[in-house]
Amino acid sequence: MGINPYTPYPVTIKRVVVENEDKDIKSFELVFTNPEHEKAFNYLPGQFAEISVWGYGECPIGMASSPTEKGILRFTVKKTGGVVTTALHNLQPGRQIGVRGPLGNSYPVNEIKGKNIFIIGGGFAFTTLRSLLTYLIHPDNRNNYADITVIYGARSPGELIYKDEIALWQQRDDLNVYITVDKADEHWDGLEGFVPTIAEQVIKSWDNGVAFVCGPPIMIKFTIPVLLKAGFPPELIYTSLEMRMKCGIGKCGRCNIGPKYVCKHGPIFTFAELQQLPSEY
Amino acid sequence: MSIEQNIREISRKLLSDGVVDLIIGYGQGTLPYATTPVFIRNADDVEQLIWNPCCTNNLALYVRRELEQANKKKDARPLKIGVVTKKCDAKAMVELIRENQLKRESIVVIAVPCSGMLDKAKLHKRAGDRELLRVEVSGSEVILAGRGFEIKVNRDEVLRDNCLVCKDPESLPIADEIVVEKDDYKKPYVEDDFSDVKEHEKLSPQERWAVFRAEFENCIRCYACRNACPMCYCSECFAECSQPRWLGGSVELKDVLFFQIVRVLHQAGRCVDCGACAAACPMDLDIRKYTRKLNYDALNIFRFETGVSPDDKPLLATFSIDDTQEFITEPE
Amino acid sequence: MKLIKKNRLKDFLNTLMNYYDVFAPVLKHKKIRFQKISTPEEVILEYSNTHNKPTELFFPQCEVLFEVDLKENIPEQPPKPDKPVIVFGIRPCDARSLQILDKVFHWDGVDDPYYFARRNNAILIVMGCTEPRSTCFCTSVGSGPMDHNGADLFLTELPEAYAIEPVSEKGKAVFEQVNDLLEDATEGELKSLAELTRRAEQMIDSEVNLNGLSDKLRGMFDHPVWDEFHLSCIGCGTCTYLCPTCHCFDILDEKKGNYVRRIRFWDCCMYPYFTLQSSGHNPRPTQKQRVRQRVMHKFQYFVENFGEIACVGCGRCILNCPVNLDIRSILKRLMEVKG
Repeated sequence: MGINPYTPYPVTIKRVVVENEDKDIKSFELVFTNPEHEKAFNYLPGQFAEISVWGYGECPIGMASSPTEKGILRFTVKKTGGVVTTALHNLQPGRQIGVRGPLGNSYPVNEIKGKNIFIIGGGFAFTTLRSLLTYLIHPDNRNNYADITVIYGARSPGELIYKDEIALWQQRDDLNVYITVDKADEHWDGLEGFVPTIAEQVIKSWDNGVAFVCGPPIMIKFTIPVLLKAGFPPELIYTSLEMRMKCGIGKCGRCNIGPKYVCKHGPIFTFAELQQLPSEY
Repeated sequence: MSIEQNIREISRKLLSDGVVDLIIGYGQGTLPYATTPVFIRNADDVEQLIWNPCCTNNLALYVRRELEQANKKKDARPLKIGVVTKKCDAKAMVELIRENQLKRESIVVIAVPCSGMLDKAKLHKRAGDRELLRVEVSGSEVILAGRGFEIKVNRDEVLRDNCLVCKDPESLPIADEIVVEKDDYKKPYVEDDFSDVKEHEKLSPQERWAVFRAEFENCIRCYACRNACPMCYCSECFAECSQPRWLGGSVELKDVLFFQIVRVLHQAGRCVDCGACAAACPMDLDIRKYTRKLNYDALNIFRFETGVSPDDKPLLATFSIDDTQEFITEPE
Repeated sequence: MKLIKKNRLKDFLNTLMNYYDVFAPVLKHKKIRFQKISTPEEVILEYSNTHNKPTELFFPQCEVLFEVDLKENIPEQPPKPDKPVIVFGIRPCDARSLQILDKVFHWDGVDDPYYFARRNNAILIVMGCTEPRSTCFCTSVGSGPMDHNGADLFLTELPEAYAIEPVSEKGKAVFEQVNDLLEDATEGELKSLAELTRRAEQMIDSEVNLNGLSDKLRGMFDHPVWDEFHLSCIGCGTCTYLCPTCHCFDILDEKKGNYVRRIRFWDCCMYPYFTLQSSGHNPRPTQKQRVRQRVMHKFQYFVENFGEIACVGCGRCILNCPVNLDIRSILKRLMEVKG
């Protein structure tokens, strides 16, 4: 972050990828105007940034790219009906926008070395998990981690994001990849079923594992009991929270849950931490 | 028996007979010129209800809110509320009934003969802006006391302006239970000739702008005026709407102007002139000035007054072939 | 002990105005609030406290974060003040509220540049409170009408003069600048100062025992007592906008042609829109939750994060709440119930 934590770095949209059939999820690949800014924007998977669309404002979005992917910053954004995401979705490559960050804490990529990793995602919320997975399987990092299991599901085949990458992950022999849809169509020959159900079939025991769970609240609600039943300690189940973060630096007071500020103490919390917080999220 | 005792007696009976589930009234405040709205569900708690000339809040606001919340709950027995009601609260409830925001059968109106409410700003002014530690009303006198001073003022002179122009405050447009006790003081009635509005209309646009500016550049946009108003009940107010965003976030004149003027325009043919907005304003702005202009227009152009009968339609929901159309033509 | 005679206060202010932009209590449209003065005559000296919070001088209700020319796309920052500022006549409670805001705006070393540009540029001449109001409860929150904490220079009004004490290094520098106008206090005046100080503390008759409240509140999030307070609340922003420690804000872009300005402005936890997410989800959809948030933030969450209560007992929320929802009553009730 620069001297003024409220000033975004100027970036240019290099590429826009429509990720789903409903066309309301798009990935934006951004390049920094100033290489110094790119160096300063030193992030880890799980962190977020405030994306600025001039004249519309800022919104907090988790990084979908991994710091191992040099030269590109990627955000996957769902058009929620908000002012900024709507404006962003209308932008074409070549347009300048702003990025302010990196903000918040990250997935504990160092602390989990040597462990079996379980990445469990649902729907659009797979974005920062993609960042994490890309980081973990980078040749420099892969040997630091034991087995990596990915369980990812969406409503329908058309709603799965990162389809090209999923195909690549499925070809690797150092990843266990389970892709599922709530409801299959005639072309789908993969798994069918909700994420918690598939997780229950796949994850039988804790086995020195650590789990990262991101998805719709209902998915998280039913996946956590599966993990606890398998023997995961609450301290080793991580999730990422969303809140109406504005300043992103613990000043504006909009994103607190009890004494914790999602923008500062989060957005990544363990299930053990969440159990200590009031249910205002 | 005093008015207060009479209110408690009626409330106790309504609650213990199971006629109502809830009484909304006024309770003891912590400042000598304030009361605070109270919500009584138990007949044993009616002693909390009080009555004095500082019962300024318009309770119709809470009645609408409580009913709305109760009706959201599935399978709940319909809530019935007893309301300690002065004339302006009754007028607001009449308007809310006309706008389908309240059902007449959901409320039991405890009609209180009001003799006008004290104006907090006037009291402070009379005390020379010294802190008031005691405000005591006795007949037509009000005793104002603080550290090292005690003064007597004429009660007529410290009533709210909207109370002065309130006609027959004892006769309410809706009433179920009548408080028969009376105050020994009779407030003066000043016929409202809207001379202030007429004077304002004579000003040039530039002069009107200057008047507006001098007042509202002090607005802090706390929305107390809107939130204290029984008629401001939109589930999404234009002031907070983000798509489209009608107004910016600043307290610059452009935003304050837009907020206040649109707020006022939304009161056309609806404002009951209860003074709740002005009483709520922490900056003591003359909030009534502009709603009064609309009330004057409603009266002058359409012979329309708010809060008369729950059976009539709201002004803006009626059309008559004889309606004057001057308001849609260019001003002369 | 040095003094400035009342008849020389005008010279005192004039001297300060040579070196500084001086902000002081003035009467602006029926209310006393801090504004930049151009003559000493504007200053109101008889006031219990200003109506609006003086923290607005450092964290204004609305300010421009930066401006962008869309053709250039490089954020520009607004110019910074170059002349140092003196805030004359701020009360001890409000000076203390600035120390509380310092903590938020400096949390974990991330400085808010807008706030600290003004804060570091300003010198506080605190005026001791010889006539506290009945709604003042500063002594209950760890302060008092003569609290020197947060002051650069401390003034106490005596019958014919103001006792003047430098508190900080910055204050000492000002003290030197006005040295010519100062006189030594007589024995009688020293006695009078001690007497007034004692009297002021006694005059705070509004006492709320808050011992152990923060710890108690930690376990009270789901307590039924929270079902009581919000009923009369109309959800306006009066309490927060007048509170000297409230600091929540929103950020918004405003566009005019090719020019965009990003502003920040006070927001309020009493408003339903405060937490509304663009998906439509609202983590605090009810007024009960919002009132609880305000109380918890000041008396529990803030204590947990910064080690002190975010309330200075100035009483502005009590004096101005349109429905007389008194924070002291809430606190007393919270202390009284079984946790």
